[in-house]
Amino acid sequence: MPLHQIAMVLDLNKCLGCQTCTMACKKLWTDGDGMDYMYWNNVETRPGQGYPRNWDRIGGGFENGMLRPSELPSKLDYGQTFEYNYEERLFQGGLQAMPQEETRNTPNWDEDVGALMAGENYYFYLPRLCNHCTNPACLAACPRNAIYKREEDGIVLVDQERCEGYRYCMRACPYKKIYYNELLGKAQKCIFCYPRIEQGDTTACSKQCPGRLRFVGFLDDESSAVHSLVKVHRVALGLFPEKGTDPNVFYVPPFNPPRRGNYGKSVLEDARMPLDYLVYLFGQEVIDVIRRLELELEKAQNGGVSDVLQLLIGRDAEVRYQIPKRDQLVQIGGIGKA
Amino acid sequence: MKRSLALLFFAAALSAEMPSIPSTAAAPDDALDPASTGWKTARAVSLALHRTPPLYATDAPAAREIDSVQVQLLRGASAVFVRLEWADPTRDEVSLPGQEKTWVTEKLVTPSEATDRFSDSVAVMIPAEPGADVYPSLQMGDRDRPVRIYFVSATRGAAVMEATGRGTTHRTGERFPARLGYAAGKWAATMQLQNLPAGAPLSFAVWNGSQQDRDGRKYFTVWYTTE
Amino acid sequence: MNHRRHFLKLAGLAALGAAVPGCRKAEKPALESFTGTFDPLRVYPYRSWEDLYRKQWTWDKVVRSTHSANCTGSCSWLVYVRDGVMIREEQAADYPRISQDLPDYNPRGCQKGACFVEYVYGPQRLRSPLIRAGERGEGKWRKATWDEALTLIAEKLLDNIYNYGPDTNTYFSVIPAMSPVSFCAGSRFAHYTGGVFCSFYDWYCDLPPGEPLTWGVQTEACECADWFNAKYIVLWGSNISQTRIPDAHFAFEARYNGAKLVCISPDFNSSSIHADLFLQINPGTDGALALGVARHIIDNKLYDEPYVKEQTDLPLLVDRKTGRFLRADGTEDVFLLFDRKTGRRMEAPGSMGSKQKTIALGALDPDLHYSDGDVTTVFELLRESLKPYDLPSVARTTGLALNDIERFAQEMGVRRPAMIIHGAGLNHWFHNDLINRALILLVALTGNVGKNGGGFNHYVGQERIWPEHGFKMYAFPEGAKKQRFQNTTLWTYAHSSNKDRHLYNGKPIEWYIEESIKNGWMPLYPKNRAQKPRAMIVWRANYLNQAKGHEHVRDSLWKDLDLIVDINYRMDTTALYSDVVLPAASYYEKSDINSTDCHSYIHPFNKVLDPLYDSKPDWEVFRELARKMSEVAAAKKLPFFEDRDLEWTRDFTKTYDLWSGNGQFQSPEDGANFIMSHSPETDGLTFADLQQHPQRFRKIDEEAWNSDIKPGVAYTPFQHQLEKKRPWRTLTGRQQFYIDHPWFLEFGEQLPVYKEPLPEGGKHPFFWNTPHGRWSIHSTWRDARYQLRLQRGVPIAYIHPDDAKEKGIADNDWVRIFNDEGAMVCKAQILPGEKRKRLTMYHGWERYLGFLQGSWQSPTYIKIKPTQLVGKYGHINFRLNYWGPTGNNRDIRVDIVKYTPTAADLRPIRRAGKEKA
Repeated sequence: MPLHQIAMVLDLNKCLGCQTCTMACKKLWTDGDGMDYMYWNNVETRPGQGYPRNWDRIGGGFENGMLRPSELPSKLDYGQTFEYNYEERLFQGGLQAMPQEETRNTPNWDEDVGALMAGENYYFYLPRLCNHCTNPACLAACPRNAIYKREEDGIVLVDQERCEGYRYCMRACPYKKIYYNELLGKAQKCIFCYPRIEQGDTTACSKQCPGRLRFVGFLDDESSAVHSLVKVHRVALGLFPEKGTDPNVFYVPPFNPPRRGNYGKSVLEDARMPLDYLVYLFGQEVIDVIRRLELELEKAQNGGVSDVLQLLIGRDAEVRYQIPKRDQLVQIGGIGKA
Repeated sequence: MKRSLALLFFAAALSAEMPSIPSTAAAPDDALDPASTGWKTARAVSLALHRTPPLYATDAPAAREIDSVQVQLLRGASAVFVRLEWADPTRDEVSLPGQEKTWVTEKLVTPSEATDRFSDSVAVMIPAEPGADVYPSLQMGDRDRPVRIYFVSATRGAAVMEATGRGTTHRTGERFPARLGYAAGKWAATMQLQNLPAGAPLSFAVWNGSQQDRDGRKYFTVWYTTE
Repeated sequence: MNHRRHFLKLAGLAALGAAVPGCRKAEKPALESFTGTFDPLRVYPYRSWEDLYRKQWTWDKVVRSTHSANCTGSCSWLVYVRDGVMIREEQAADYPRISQDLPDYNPRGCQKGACFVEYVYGPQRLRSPLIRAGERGEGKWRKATWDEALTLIAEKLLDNIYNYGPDTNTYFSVIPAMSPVSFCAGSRFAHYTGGVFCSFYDWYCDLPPGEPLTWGVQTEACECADWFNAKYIVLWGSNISQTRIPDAHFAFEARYNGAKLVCISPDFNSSSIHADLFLQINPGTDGALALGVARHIIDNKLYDEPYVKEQTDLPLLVDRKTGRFLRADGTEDVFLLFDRKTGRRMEAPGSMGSKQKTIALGALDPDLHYSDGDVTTVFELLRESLKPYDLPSVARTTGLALNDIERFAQEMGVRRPAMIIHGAGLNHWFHNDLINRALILLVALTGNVGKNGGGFNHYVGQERIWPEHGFKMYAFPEGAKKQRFQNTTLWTYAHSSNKDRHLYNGKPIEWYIEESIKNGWMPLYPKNRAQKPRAMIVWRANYLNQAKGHEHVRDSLWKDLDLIVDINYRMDTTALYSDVVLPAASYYEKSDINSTDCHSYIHPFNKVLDPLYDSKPDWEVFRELARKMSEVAAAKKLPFFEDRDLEWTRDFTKTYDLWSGNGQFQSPEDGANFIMSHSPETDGLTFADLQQHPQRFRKIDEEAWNSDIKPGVAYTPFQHQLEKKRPWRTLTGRQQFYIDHPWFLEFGEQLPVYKEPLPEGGKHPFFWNTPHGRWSIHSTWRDARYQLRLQRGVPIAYIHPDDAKEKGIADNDWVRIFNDEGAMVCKAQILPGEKRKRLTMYHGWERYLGFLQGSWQSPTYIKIKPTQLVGKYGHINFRLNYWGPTGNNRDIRVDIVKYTPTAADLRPIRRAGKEKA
């Protein structure tokens, strides 16, 4: 176990699906050689195929303590990265501007699609990043021990010098959040913006999130919002708990509005979004969380004040992020002492 | 740790039982050319290839698609040349994307074209410290018996590695002269190694990219010695 | 920060004695240390490589700037520069907080702003002046020098002025608020050369005509922080998750603070998913729903009676026979009400002709229900006209469940404060004015207008130029009377082959247009009807791509123009179809200022780097063009030009002197400072002050706005009316729901009524819906690769699964969408949240990208609503972007068939069929 564990809580009831997080991450970290198809942070519409497609159905994680690796997704599973013939079309009298390959799949191919139940549509947005698991399957799978968990903050990293690009980690990760850089022959993944975290700044995906749905801090910091949401109010859950990796990214589960004609009924009664689907993603506990959140919302909408909802409002950055600078952690937390 | 590594049965083997590889002929100047006349006359031995067992308990054992590797040795003034030839119906030579550069701000970057392809490769392993009577583990040596590996990837070229056991392999940063060519369903590799005394132990490994071979997932031979 | 120290202290105790190896500067480990025996869950010996990513988060320079794409965002960004190259953007996230209770505005910005840098260096970037070398739109050019290009333009403009009249030169640029200095550079040029300046807010149908009609304002909405103050929020035709990305959080956070959130839209969209109530309404029936709710509110006496009596025209008396307001004898603009106290008809205070400059009722107690013979109140007429809108009937019309709308109507009546957030979803209907008025009626009946957290808040387009006074002085220095202003909807209709075949009360629209021009209600240039527009200069806009009646415009108006000039940083569709293209500096290579209706701050554009390639900021382009005009006029020894209509003797050798204020304006910063120092909103601020952080406006120009800016309080309009009892800016001085203009009476629209959508484009089964979406701001970012890679790479039309099945269309098929006006070929995506019998394509796709035929505007045409041509009625007079026919497009109908592309179609896709499975 690391000395401290950084964590993130994402309130799915605030997510706009705008992909500003995706772009913030892309421009900061994955704009280089071999990284075109990589979105360390992506936002996908659920239910849906996801990115890479079918990632949630192909395996990964642990089963009875044993790794259950999946097949490797292909680049088409992750999605095409189009180039366009703009120079020709716009400046050389060329043909219509087109992506230079037939469009078949992209990382966000089924945006806003979701599913139909009894004629009514339901969906929500699921932003995803590396879960920086307490028991990372990627780390367990690496024969070179080139993946490690930082002791001072629990961030899981792929050593970019020692990685040989074997991709056992990609097969093992149940969230498919490790990518292969074919140009460099290295596995690469979300680094939880450790250069920023070390300076007391939050990650690019959270800092740039206009929906303000991300809360970042140390899970073991009892005064942090993430601690409060995960451990005290217990309204945030990890994805696929049965995969055994103990993720450190947590989600406040989503509501959808009532079905047609149901206004006034509980979301648990004849729900637009089948609860089975939420159970599939977040485990059985999600039912209880949804019930409690609904009661809190009812309280607020009837003129009361809900502590947990007031926290989720997250009025400013100080409410949402509690990140001590690394040198403070080092000094007081013991890091660096022989 | 929940990893299921089932490779530990490869103990270090004793030299007395090792067959040897003929290495008497002198290398011509063009020994790195797999088609060099030097190789036409050098004696060749065919060594049996073994398949490593699956890394994960849940993985099905891989088919044995390559039976053997043909090995030849030629001696130069200060180097040993090795030529390896093996039949592999799939040519898994990944031509790294490069033609279709794309712009990112002011610079051009190159996309990844695939995430799930692996390259054919070949390697020669020797003990890093010569003269020991016990050979290093075939599993990349062991703590007291480091190994040195001359590795050639069809995709990324040649690199020297060292290791002291499985999981410890690392690149030394050295390069060495090598060539790899594919014709008529066969790979032929020539490598220029450091000078090896007679009786020096060698083992060989072949990776078949289409079988997702990489790392310890490969074909290998037991230890042999030079004549 | 107390809790912080607490955590650190505890953490220290917990970790006491833990031995941790150094990890900052690990030397290269010796070979023997590669044992692989360590447990990387606990310790890792090789961490020196971590500097790799630390170095990636470094930069040489950070500069604050923003974007000018008309998104209402007005987001302050930091642009990071390394090795002389702009590498990325991050929201500055330093808008000062309004109050501790309100969530702040940070971080403000979306995924598009996060990679504008793409355009700075991308393949669409214009790098030098270009002169057309092939057919228009072909994309064949020859490079030119600035001098050559400007000379060509100046000579042509002067030639037109002297031979055909200055009103054959037309200027089009949109939305001053997003970069007023760049806007003014061109508007000043148009002003000093007699050119026609075209409107945009009405043309793009973003102007809600119900606001000028009811309130006498262009558009007045609360700043978005005020959403948090609401206890009831109705998203009505506004998909805030996609179109108000930086602001949507206020609505979802308001929900946690006790607001209920209702979303009314035909599709289950990105905002609906977070609503407490989703009403999947039949397209275009929103007016019926609103009127049903209004009837419920009136029937159940849920209206705010004192408010209605004081703030609305509902107590005013009307003659049933003529349909006209009762007016005080001999006046056109003094109105009567029936006072219960005195039992007499009395003059209502505060109207345009009233001597009382207040709407305070004083001792008056108006009778809402008065009726005597043919005379009755607007309230009673309203009650009668609402009779058909009982909720069971409304449920049938709208396709909604009775339970849902009954509860909605009741909550709308009782939850306070309640606000409607309104957008293009509704505003683009032909009957947008009726829909606006019906919705405004709801929040007026319930006394929500003018209150924090309440009101009808319309957001489409960044139309509010807060420092308006200074802006006007800089943009059109000699005033509106010396400037030719043109409603673009009318201009485009009149000069293109658009033909509206409908009859309106038996008369073609041309009859109404001619009446309107003849009555002096609407102008049409060139004034000499024998002339055609000859030159058009477009900057900060993409006129052709976004034109309603796109195919007609291309076929006629565009062909008639002898010179089309586009000033742009990228080759958009208008640029591609121009004759001369001038490369503008990008948003990150110029100085300007920026503000929006969505917040109450002003902040700057800055030169992150000097203009790249051979580009110039728009401001400099027009400065050079003004110089060139002077030069050419002097060289040709042109005589003074007598511009009789404007009573202006023009000496074109002085164009530059005039444009530059005789040297007063040496830089864009001078322009910015002039605007700011001449506007109360920014009085005391200089351009330099904006560098620190966005600055909140200080006070307001009472001529322009209707509420004060108060420290600690979110801005919401109409508090002057509510709190200071100032008259509304309407004929009656009240929120005016009754319009007794003869044309309104002729069409039965004196009160808000529900009218069905029209079958525009022919009798076809599908609505053609082209809303604003998340992936572009109009056409900007439509061709940006970072955005396209997160879509499907080409234009997509959404279709409901059942419709797709009926039509034999599979997901990702090519389809042809067509009607009587035009056709396009694009791809289909099956979307379960789409309404049946409707096709949706998010708007703004460039014509040159992804379509195999036509463009998203191909099925549209221009359809002018007669009542929007009226003028000279109290507060209803033509004013640029304030009142004039809107370029509506929501009523368009189309059909769809599967399309099999030919080999020629797929030729531009270089790798078509070549990839591996």
